[in-house]
Amino acid sequence: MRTIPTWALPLLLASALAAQQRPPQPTPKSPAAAERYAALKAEQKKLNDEWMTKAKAVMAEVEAAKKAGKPTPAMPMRPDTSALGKQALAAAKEATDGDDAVPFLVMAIGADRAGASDALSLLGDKYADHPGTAQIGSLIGFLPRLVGDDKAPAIAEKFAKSKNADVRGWAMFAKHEKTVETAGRDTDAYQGAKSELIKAAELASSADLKDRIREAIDTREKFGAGNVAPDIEGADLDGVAFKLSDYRGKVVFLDFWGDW
Amino acid sequence: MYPHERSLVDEMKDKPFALIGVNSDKDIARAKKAVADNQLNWRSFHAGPDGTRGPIPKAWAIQGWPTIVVLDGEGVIHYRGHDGDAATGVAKALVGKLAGGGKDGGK
Repeated sequence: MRTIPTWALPLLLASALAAQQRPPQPTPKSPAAAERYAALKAEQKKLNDEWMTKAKAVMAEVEAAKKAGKPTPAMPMRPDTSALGKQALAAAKEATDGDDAVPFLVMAIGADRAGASDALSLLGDKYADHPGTAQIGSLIGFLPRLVGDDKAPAIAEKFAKSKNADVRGWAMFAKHEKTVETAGRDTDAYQGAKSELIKAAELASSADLKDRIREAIDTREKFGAGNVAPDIEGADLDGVAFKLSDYRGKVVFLDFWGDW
Repeated sequence: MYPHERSLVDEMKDKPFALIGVNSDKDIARAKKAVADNQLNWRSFHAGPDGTRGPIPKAWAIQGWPTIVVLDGEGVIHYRGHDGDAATGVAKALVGKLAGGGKDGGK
C-alpha cells in the first residue's frame, strides 16, 4: 500500500481545506454540461471528504501513539480521483465551446495527474483566449513537468498570445520569474523582465497574479542582500510587545516558521 | 528544523547573535504548544490570526515556509532563502566579524 509521511499530512489537509475555501469556479453554461459537471464535482467532494475524515482520525491515532511511545500508524493516501479526471476530460472533448469545456478541463487537470497533459494541450490549442483558462495560470510555470519538455514551449506560447490579459500575464510571469529572482539587478535582462511584469500586472484583473508579481519584485528589490530590512513591531507569543530593531548590534537569524 | 535551531541558539548564547521567529500559525495556542513540546529556546513574533497571510509575512513578501533572513548588526540583509545550513553559515561569519573587532579570545 502506498503511504504518505506523517509530517506531510497536516500540509495536505490544509491545502485540501484551502481548496474548499477558494471562490467557486465557473461552471458550464449549457444545462446538460452543467448537470454533468455538478455530478462530477459532487463525486470529487465525496472522495475528498471521506479522505479528510479518515486522515483526521489517523492523525489523532498518531498523536496518541507518539505519546505512548508506540509505532505510529500509516497515513491514508489521498483519494484517487483519476477516473473522475478522465470523465471530465471526455466531457471537455465533447463540449462545443469554451464556456462548457474550460470548467471540465480545469477539473481534469486537478483530478488526474496522468491526464493533465492532454487537458493542458487542449486548453492551449482551443481555449487559450477563454477567461476561465486563467484559473490554471499559476501552472504555466510547471508546464515542462506537466506535459514534458518537448510540448511545453508550444503550449506556453499559446498562453502567451492569449487575448485574455490574465492568461497572458500568467504566461509572462512564468517566463520571467527566474530572471527576477536571479539576474543581476543592473542588467538589461532584469530591467526588461521587471518592466514587462509591471505592465502585465497593470493589465491583469486577477488579484492572485498581481500579488505574485508584486511579491517577486519586492522579494528581490526590498529584501535582497544589501537592503536594510524594515522593522517589525509586534508581540511575542506571550503577548509582550517588542521590535526587531531591539536587536540592533546583534546578528539576527530571522526565521519565519510554523508548526504545521 | 527545531533541533538545528535549538543547538544554534545554545552555541551562540554568549555571542552578539539572536534567533528571532515569526510564527505563522493561525492559532497562537498551537505555536505555544510547539514551543513547550520541543523546548524552543527563541523568541517569536506572532503573525496574527491570518497566519501565513498575516501582516508581517505579507509586508516581507514571504511565499514559502520556512524562510530565513539573516541581518547584520545594522539591520542589513545578508541572506534570504530556505536553506538553514546556508543561513547558519552566513550568520556565523557575520558574528565572527562582529566579535573579531573586539577580540579578547573567548574560550
